[in-house]
Amino acid sequence: MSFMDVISLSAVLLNIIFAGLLYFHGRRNAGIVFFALIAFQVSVWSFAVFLMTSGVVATKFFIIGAFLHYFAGNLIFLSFFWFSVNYPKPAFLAFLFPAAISVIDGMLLIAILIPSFFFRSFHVAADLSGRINFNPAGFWIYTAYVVFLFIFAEITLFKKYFSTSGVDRLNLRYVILGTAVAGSLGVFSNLILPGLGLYFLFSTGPVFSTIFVGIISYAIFKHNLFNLKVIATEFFSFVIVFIFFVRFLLAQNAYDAIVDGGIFVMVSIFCWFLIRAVWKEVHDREEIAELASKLQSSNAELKKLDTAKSEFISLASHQLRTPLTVIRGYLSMIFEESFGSFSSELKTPLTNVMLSTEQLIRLVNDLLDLSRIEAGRIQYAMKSFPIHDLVKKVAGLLSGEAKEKGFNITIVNSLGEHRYIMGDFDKLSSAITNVVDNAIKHSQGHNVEIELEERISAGKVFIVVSVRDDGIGIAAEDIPKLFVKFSNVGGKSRYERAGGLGIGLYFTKRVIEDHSGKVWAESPGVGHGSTFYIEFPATTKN
Amino acid sequence: MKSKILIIDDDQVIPEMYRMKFEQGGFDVDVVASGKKALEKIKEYEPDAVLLDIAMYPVDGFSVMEEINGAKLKKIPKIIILSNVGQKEEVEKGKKLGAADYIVKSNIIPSEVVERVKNLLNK
Repeated sequence: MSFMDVISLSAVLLNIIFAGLLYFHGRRNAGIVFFALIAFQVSVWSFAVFLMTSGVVATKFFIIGAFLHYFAGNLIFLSFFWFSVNYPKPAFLAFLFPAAISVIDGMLLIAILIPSFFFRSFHVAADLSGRINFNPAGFWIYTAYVVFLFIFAEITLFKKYFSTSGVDRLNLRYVILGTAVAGSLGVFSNLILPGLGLYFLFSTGPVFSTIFVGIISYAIFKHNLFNLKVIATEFFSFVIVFIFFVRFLLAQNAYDAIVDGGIFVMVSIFCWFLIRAVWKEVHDREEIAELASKLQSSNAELKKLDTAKSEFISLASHQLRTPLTVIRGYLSMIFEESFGSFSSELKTPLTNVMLSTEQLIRLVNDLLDLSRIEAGRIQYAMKSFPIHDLVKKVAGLLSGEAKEKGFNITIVNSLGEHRYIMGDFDKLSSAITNVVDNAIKHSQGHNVEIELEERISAGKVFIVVSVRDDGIGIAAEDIPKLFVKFSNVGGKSRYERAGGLGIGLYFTKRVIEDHSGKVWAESPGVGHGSTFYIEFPATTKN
Repeated sequence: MKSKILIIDDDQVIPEMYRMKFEQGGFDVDVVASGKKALEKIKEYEPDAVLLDIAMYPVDGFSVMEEINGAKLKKIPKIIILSNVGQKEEVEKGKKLGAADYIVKSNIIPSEVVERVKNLLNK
């Protein structure tokens, strides 16, 4: 047996094992089934080359080999054509066009059997060129048809390569490379050259098929092509086990049989564990990839819902503002006696309506702020300004509310009036208003105190605004919940939580943090009041 | 001579509320309920100040401002945006188009609006 005979038979063996493993692992995917079919046909085709070129088989097998060679050669490209339209996903009308082509293919294969259409005659000769006499017309029709299938399939894969992404794209790259190299060389060495009477590369066909298997194997290890890391491990394990099994069978004496048998058993066990480990790894990776993909799509869905929710809140809040503007506007005009004087008995109920309306406006504004924060649309107009101005504005805004409860808001400023911070004056004003408003609501008759201090940490100067009240205080376990959206501090249900949606302090925290500051609360416990601290980096006047 | 105010707002109630307050404040007031007819009315009425809503359909307040900016007017009024749409980007857009003030309606009562307009016209 010559070296080329060994190559041909090795290609037969490699491709048939490869085809079996592919089919066994990927039979649910039409593309992979066609790929398995290609490997099987390459195996048959390699065997045909062996029959035609080997000196060890009788001449009568040459004719069988010749028919088998051109039948299998044709079917390789037909399967490749089917593969190209079905991998990684079937194309539109994936069945119809290849089916029509297959009918033509069937007719061509029948035509090969017609005497004189393809083969005119076979002869006993020393070299291949003397053994076959082709009908040139039939031969070149066959060749043109095979080349058409090959080019059409490659173009189809190319188109898919540019329209896919991720692992599919990577797999297609190796499939295109492998098939283009092996297919071109195969067509050249076993069709075009023999058509010109040149057979010097004829027996190298199986070598090209081995290149094809080699490139795909590389892809398997590198990029998990067709999830074939497992298949490849099994394939090489079987080859190794098979070699040791043959050695065991061919043992010359009892000693060799025991040694080779022992090695065979150990290698078999080792391969078994190896395959299981690789299988598990691939399986785990697939599960993780699937979970990641599900998580990604769920995340995208949640983001979409969240955006829709924020847009709805924003729209609804704007719509709510219009009737509230009218109610508040007309009430203010009644109080200003724009419609003439009104009965003193109406003053209390009208005041209550006014307070409720203002409360409703604050709720709507809170909702709007929340939707802006959630949608990431809040924007800050940054400038430096004296912190004293900000605190003074907040105290002024809320002094009426404090007075109604019978106390004042006092400002204790040890910094003077010219200590600056950098930020959005209006947003920070809303943020601090929430804290002071909270203190007024919970104070039990004494003044609410706002103190401005300075703190130096790691060479940096910070300004601390503390808001102190003598109110109901906060239980230690409730302090972490204070700045959480819709928080339920003190076990109050949302229906008992008068005056807010539980987003005021959440808004404050977000705004302060966006200004590189921090906010926190301290309380000696329930019934002992509380102090809220807001800290900003100090800056200089611009 | 009284200062003239034109209110451009497609709401049915709000313009009447401001009309009353402004008239009590000593202004002449007219109302136009559509962005489409705004420019025509400005040319005809020649107001000192325009109170302009933003969220109007089909011609919104910003489009009205663009029309005003592109028109040749004998008397150029001060534009005060009076809207319930008041996010930073809208305020910036309004100012960029030449608004003298931007007021969020729900945050301010009519008498305060009158005061702001008086201050603007006295500048």
